[in-house]
Parts: sequence; C-alpha cells; structure tokens
Amino acid sequence: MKIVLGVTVALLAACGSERGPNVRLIIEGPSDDSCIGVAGFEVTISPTGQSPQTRELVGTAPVLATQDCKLPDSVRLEGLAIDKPITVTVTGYDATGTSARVVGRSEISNLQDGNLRLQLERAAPTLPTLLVFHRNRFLENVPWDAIQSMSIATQMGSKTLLNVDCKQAKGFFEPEPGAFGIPTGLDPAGADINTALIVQFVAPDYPVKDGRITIRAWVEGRYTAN
Amino acid sequence: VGKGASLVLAALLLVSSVAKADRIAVVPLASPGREPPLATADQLAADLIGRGHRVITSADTIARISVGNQGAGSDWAAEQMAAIRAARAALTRLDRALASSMARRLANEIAGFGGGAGGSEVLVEWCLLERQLASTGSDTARARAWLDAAVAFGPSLELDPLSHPEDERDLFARRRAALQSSVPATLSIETTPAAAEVWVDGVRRCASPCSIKLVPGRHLVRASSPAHAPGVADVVLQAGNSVTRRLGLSAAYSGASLGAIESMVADPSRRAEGASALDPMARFLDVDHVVAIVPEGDRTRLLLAPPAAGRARVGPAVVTASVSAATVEQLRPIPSRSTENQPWYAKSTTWLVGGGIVAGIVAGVLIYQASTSPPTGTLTVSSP
Repeated sequence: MKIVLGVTVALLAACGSERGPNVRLIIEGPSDDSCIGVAGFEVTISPTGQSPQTRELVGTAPVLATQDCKLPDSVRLEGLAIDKPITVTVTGYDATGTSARVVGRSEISNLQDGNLRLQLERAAPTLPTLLVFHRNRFLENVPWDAIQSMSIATQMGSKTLLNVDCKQAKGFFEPEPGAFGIPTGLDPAGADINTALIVQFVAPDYPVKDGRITIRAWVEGRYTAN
Repeated sequence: VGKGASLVLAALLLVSSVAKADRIAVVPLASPGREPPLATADQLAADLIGRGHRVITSADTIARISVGNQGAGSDWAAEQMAAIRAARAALTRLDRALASSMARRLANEIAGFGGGAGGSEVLVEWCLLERQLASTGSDTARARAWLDAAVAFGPSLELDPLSHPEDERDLFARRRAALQSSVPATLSIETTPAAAEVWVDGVRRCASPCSIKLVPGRHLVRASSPAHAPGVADVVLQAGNSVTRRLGLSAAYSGASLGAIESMVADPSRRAEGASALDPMARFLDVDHVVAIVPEGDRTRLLLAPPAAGRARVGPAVVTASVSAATVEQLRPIPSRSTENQPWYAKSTTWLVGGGIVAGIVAGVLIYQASTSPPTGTLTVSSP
C-alpha cells in the first residue's frame, strides 16, 4: 500500500511539476536619471497568439535615486509556448499613471533556459519637470481610493499646471510622496524656487480643504515642495 | 560427559521450574554440518521423566510425526546399523558406559519406529549388541533373553561371519533351530482405518486386517498408511498363543518436516518462522511444549516453542535464564494474519489493487495530457 501511494505521489509530483525551460528577464535601470520620479512599473507580456498579460508593480515610494530604479516585485508567467516569440514591455510611470518616464521593450524569440537582460531607457527626449511633495498632511485620514482627482495650480488659481484623474492613475497615484511630471508651467532649469502652488483634491465623501505648497528646492532635476 | 550432564541438568531445572508435570516433546534438530544431538535429547528426556513430566522422547516424536514409512526405511536402518557398529567398537574399547548409552538410544529408536521398515537385520544386530553387553556384564540370563529376541526377530537370517565370531553364529543357529521347532504363535493385526500395510520386525507381511504366524518371542509391529501416522506395537508372543492388536492410525502430521524446521531454525532471521512450525507439531503431539535441541558451535541451543493457544505458556524465566554450554530461547510465533474473514474494505489487497488502479488512471491522464499539449516554459521578469 505504501509503495502504491509513494509511486502515486511521485508520479503526481513528477507530472505536476514545472516542465520546460524557465527564462528570467532581468530589468536594469537606465543609464541616466530618467527613472527618478517613477511611481511604479507596468509590465506587459505579449506572447504570440495569446492575450497580453499586464501587471502593475507599485511600491510604497517613488524612485528618488538612480540606484533605486528596480521593480518592486517580479512577474512570473507560466504556460508560455516555448517556440513562439514573446514581447515584454516595461514602462515606468510617475504618479499620474499616464506619463511614462522610462520604458523598455524586449522580444524573446523562443524560451530557452537562462537569463536575459533588458535595460530601461528614457521614455522621451524631454520629460515633464518633476515636482515632488507630500500629500498626507492635506488628506489626513482620507483613503486613496476615495479621491477622484487632484489638481495643481499656481497661486490664486491663475494657471493650472496639472490635472490628475485618479481612476486613470490607478495604483501609481498612491506612493508617497507624490512625484508628478508637470508638462508646462515650471522652469525645467530650476528657476521657480519659492513659487507657491495650490493643490486641490476632489473626494466627494470627505471634506478635504485645498492645500498650499511652496517649492523649496531644485535638486537633481526635480522640484521639492512642502 | 560432564558438559552434557551440566547441560541436561540446567535444561531440566529451567523446564521443570516453570511447568508442573507438563507434557513435553523433545526434538533433536540437525544444524549445518552437525548431526542431531540424539544422546543429549535422550538424556534430557530421561531426566524429565524422572522428575515427573510426561515426555515424548525424540524417537517417539520423530516416529509420530512421520507419515507412512517416511524416515523408517532402508536409510533409517543403515543409520541404526552404523550406531550399532559404533557401540560395538566402544565396547571393544571397554567403554561400556558409552556402549550402554547408545544401546538405550537404539532401543528407543527401534521401538518407537515399530521395528521400522528396513528389514530385520537391524533388529537382530541390535539384540546381539544387547546380548554382548549383558555377557560382558556377566548377566547370562539377560544375554540368553536377548539371543532369543534376536532369533525371534530374524528367524531366517544368517549372521555375517565378518561381524560375528563363529561361536556366536553357532549359538544363534542352535537357538533358532530350537525356537523354530516350537509351536508358532499367531498375531492378528487390525487397524483403523483398515488396509494399512503391516510390517513385522522390519518386514512387510500383510495388509490389515490380517493374521500371521510367528516364532514365539518379542516382535515389533508397524502399521503404516500413506495418509496416516504409523501405528506401532511391541508384543511378546508365547508358543501356540493367538494375540490380537488393534492399532488406530491417527491423521498424518501435516506440519513442516523436520528438515524444513531445521533449515528455518538455523537461520536467525527465520527462527520465528521455525517457532510457528513447531507450534502445530505441539498440537499434533498433544503436548504443552516442544523443546528443540540444536547444536550450535560448541554450545547447544534449546528452543522452547510456544504452546498452542489456550495452554500454559513456558514462563519468561526460561527466556532470561542463562545456562552453561546452552542457550535457551523462547521462540515466539509469527502472529496469525488470516484475512479470510475480513470484509473486503479491511483487506490490504483491496486497497493495494484499488490504489494501483487509481495510480494507473491518474498516470494515464497525466501522460495523455502531457503528450497532447505542446511544451511550455516559464518567464520571470524581475530586477537583479
């Protein structure tokens, strides 16, 4: 009896165990500082003949140093045909969830055992100017998923610098501090220090007051406000 | 002799201390390269009998567990003849004690086998050995009685001139002539069941029920049937008398043969199997214990077989006791694992077969799936 059970278990284990090659695609950060401000990564695996699989990898904080440009987690996809090409796309977004700062794309012709490498690159020659600030002091106990949108404008609301649709931003909006690429309105060379900005949150179920922040520093290509 | 005596004494103390008037069968077993310790077995049996136990001696035991004439034919007769020659040689060396001991064992053996089925010569030679012993002991009356017994066993036999001096041959011939001239006696043998072969003084004479005329004197009778244990009788017939003997033949011993038991006991890993083989022997012989004696190097191993169910057990003192020149071992039987009366779901065979079928089905499905689906791999995307 024990022999039969042992054989059965061994057989099941052998048959149920992972078969075929196991390929690891290692993502490396870009050679410049374009990864700074990335709130999270979106990994899309597109096997030929199959539906693409997308995973959002979001950490607790955005990338604020070049050496920290790493995926917060790994993505594992099984059951891929080994003789068909697979395209892997990795995109790093800021807290808006729509503005890509780094991107990488790799096409794997067939799965063979071993490690492959993919180095991310700057998503565009000119990236939006980065503004980093903490939102918690305005939100207090308001949960992230209760916020519909956020806007950043110059003082007195004379000019709106950014509108963020939190539904579009998905999980990328949540890492704190928030790192937002401002397409226009801020000097990309750091001349807007001491500029006052108004931050407005729309959360229908919570009374959230408008907040006022002041740009205090220009360090390593990004503005920091408080 | 001293070693043997101490062995017998020790074994005697062990057995008698744990059993009150037990029925004990003594079985000498051979071991690789060693003959069965017949003399030690007989000594032990004699001492046990002297202490009030009911003992079936080795000769009786072997005779009773044999089937038909198994072990009582020409090979058996040749063994007894060799023992007789050895006893005579001992007597020639003036070792009277050894010769007497061997003669006693021969007497038990021959009587236990009802004279056997290997011819009358061995009986005659045994009687002449006893006569020689009596003569050297100056017991003329006893010597004469043994001579008469030799003539009665083999009235038509001519003594071998190479083994017997002329005066002994002349004496044998004169006594034979005298007994043959006397009125013969009639011996009637009835057996249950009937149609058994009747062997008288080692020679097949008739099928039961039957009557035969014999020279007056002592005669050994053996009734054998292929399906039954032999029945034996030891009768003394007077001239002109008619004597009837009824022998009941019991069902044959169907357990393991002595040879098989010897091979099992010789293997330590199968000794428990040997115990289980001795158990049915105890039941067949209707004894409480079977004491198997096995030579083992310069020691002797006493194997005390467990009693049949419901009988008194040989106490644990036997197991733990240490005996000089002997090792006492209380054998334990292999537990019965009968499954005939178990329901189907309690039988291991059911689960074994069921498990095999399930495993086969699962394996088949998995193998089929593996053979029909294309090979796949795994991709992992991560940071260094």
